[in-house]
Amino acid sequence: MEKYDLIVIGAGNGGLMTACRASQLGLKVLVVERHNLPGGAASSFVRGRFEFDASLHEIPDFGQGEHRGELGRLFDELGIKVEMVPIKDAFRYVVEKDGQRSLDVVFPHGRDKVMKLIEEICPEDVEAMENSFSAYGDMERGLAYFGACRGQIDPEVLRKEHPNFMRIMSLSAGELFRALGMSEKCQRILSAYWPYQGTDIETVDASRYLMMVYGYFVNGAYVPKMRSHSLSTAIADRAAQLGCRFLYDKEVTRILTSQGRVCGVELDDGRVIETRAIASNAFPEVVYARLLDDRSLVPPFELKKANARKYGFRAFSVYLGLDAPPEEIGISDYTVFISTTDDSRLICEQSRTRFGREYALDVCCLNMAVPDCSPEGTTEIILTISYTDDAWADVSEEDYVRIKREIADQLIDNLEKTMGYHIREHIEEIEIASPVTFARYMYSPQGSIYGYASLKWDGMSSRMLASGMEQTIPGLFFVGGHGSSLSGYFPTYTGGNKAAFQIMGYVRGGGKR
Amino acid sequence: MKKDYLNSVPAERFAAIIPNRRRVIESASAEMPQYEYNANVLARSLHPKVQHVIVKDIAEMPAARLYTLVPDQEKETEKLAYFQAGQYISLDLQIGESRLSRPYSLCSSPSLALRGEYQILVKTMNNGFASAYINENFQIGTRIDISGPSGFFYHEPLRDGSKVIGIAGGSGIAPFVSMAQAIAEGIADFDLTILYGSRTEEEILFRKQLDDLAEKCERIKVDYVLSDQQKEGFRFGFISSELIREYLTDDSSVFVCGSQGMYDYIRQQTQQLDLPLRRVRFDAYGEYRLTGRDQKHLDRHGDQKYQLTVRTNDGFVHTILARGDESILVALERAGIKAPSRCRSGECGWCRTRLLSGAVYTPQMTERRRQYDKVAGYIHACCSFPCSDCEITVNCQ
Ligand SMILES: Cc1cc2nc3c(=O)[nH]c(=O)nc-3n(C[C@H](O)[C@H](O)[C@H](O)COP(=O)(O)OP(=O)(O)OC[C@H]3O[C@@H](n4cnc5c(N)ncnc54)[C@H](O)[C@@H]3O)c2cc1C
Repeated sequence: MEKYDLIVIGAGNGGLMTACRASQLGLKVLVVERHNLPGGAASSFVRGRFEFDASLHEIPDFGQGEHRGELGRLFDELGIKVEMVPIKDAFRYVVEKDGQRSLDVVFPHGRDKVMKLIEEICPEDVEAMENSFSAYGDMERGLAYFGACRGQIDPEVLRKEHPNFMRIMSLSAGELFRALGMSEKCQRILSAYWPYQGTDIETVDASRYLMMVYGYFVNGAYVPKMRSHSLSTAIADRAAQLGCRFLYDKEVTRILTSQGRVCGVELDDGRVIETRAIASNAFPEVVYARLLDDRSLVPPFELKKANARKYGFRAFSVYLGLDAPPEEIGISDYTVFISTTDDSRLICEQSRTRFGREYALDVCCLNMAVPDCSPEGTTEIILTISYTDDAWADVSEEDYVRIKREIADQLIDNLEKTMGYHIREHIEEIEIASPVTFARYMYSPQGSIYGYASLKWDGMSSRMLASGMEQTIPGLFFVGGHGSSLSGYFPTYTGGNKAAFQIMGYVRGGGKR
Repeated sequence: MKKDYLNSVPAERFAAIIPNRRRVIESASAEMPQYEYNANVLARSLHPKVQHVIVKDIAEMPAARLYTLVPDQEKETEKLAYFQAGQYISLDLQIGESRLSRPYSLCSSPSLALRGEYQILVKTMNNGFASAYINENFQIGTRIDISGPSGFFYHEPLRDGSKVIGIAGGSGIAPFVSMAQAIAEGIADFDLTILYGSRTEEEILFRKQLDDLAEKCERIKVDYVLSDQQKEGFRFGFISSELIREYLTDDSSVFVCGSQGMYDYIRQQTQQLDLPLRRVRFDAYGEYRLTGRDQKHLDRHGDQKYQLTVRTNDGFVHTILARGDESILVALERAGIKAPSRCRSGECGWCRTRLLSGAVYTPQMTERRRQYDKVAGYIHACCSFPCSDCEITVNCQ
């Protein structure tokens, strides 16, 4: 009978990174994935002459050369090689309603360039902006201290050396901006990134906002030259090289326990495989309510937590392969955020239904970073909107495709109108992904792409401080967007890496936590 | 650097983060949480991994049979997945020692799927291995496993013209029969003119059904083209650029389904018409066969036999023979190794495997791999032909 130290359920970002690190640490690891390839959301698909990234727009903290960032260093350390390309600007933000444009600004990467732009467009905010960069620095140092002491923080050190870190941890992004004395206008411009955070600017933690947005401002953003599929495949291949086994096209249908701790899994083909620990890329509620053999083992606190939480964004994406080059389409930016209003709360509210009057549309054109990502004379763009509720709860099998098309049609319409792009007459390939599509490929409840919503009580700060304190069944670990590091490529990779160390501790400690 | 920029924020707030979190969590219900929602249920019903079906009915057609399939309730398939007219399903077959798959277009209306039926047309091909087996062995009551609906050969209004010229050869009529019904029932919204090529009048499939649909619904037209028989009321010859031009408008898309030879011919014709790529769509090949275009490979490797070492991901190693003129997938199937596959044309990626050593040839017409897979040594087994001894990994089924 085969026996593993660790079985990883699901080869999403979290699962893959846990598997790779755990293998490197010498654990005997098996990954079970339902699909026939690794990645979960971090995958790509081919239509005709085009290859589309299913999810990735950009990753922070990769860096190159002497500016190698945390994620870049993690990949180096594990020997994972992927060719990454920097993205020139952070984003262009266009706010327009009924043909009235109230804002159109391109945010660059690089602290100095950002400051130069602020001097131009919000001269009265120079000091507040400088301070926000200080906040980012304080945040980074605080996190480094946290990481270094592995949860064993000394309150005295924290109070003395990281007072601003403590303050930032307790604020929402909106509160932070106001505390810095930032003008309304500047706040609104900076809130452009909220759709990548999964919730509005007044709800999302300042900690998370800084780490991501200022991470981009300071260190730039990157995409792989060959889609996120290259990231996923490279991690899986490296893990395999380190001895990790992969079972694709197989689903874990049961988690087995004995004496109160996990001891194995059962697969859809009936096989039972023993293990000391399990890292689940599947959501906690799926594990508790569907996979676990003995539900009475779940601590009530964990059940309450699962019930208290809300899901992160469910996405709707339109992937377009166009038979004309970007300049002919009218595209000149990598990312354009198009909003009908710069009030993220209003859009969040309106995004609870399938198509609200107020919306925020994210347009991403890979050719602007990787010119040869599609054949010469062609362009690929991805349009994305996000839902803040279960907006597809009432859709039937029969109506599904029609509804998808209607929304895609509206998005294309709005994009052509606002930006003046020429899209319709150039569509050679089109694919539309809805929450149903993401539910299919990620297996996440409601098709959530961002794990759980970053609510005030359940944001980065709170999850980080609580991690380690909230225990579930011995031997069971959660990795991925629903884990304690939140969602996105950077958090799921780094979170998966951290989980591997905890798992090693558990396994090597003979099952003690 | 300034340190006092946040002094307005009380530091005590930090200490409240965890108590706040606990309070919210403690006030929630301790019931088992819900884990499945409409999006999850829809995802599963639209894309089942496998559908167990039974042959309910068989109708004879010229050199072909039409099978009606219904869910096999005993095997817990309660209903059939809805689909878009033009999609196919893949059949799992065991013929002697071989385990193989074959794609067949659904020729019934999508609405019939909601009532629990699919229809597929199986034409007995010359030297056909699977098709001959099916038509000789399938009976009412035969149980089979099929995939969920797959493929991209359907009308997409956001991309395609609202007037479709459907070019069908032989059994390639099947997806158009489904599309025509969908149009007549108001499920699909486009005009369809079918240019249907057969050798002789006797070989025309679905004749009555097509004529009835055209009669009933003015959005549907059928023009029969006979290559081997001159007869009144029928076009004679091949489906040429001139014939296509007769129906072509600014708002037309050309959809093509038929044999590989026909695809080559039609591609030349549409090139003469200067149609952009987005206006011409081909259904999957079903099985790519090496031709003159691949002569270099055939000359060097066509009559060779290579050793193929297969590592399945659950730990077994098989050593089998692979012919230079057959795909790696076929070699696996001949050896009874049940490897995943669906479209057999390179496009679905279901048969993606890793080439650990050796060299294979991928015909340019079937090259649909992801960019990184090409550099990292992954192949689509259905469209990879060995040029040497090879070693691959396969996801066992
Ligand atoms: C449209 C879109 C745009 C995005 N843009 C960005 C971006 O620009 N930058 C960024 O950082 N992030 C972005 N994200 C978010 C990012 O993709 C996700 O946060 C991340 O990929 C989630 O990783 P995960 O580890 O949670 O795994 P998931 O991707 O959720 O994968 C889970 C895996 O587990 C498998 N699985 C589940 N249950 C089982 C079982 N029982 N047995 C076997 N296997 C199982 C599933 O098949 C799946 O492969 C985007 C996401 C989407 C959808």
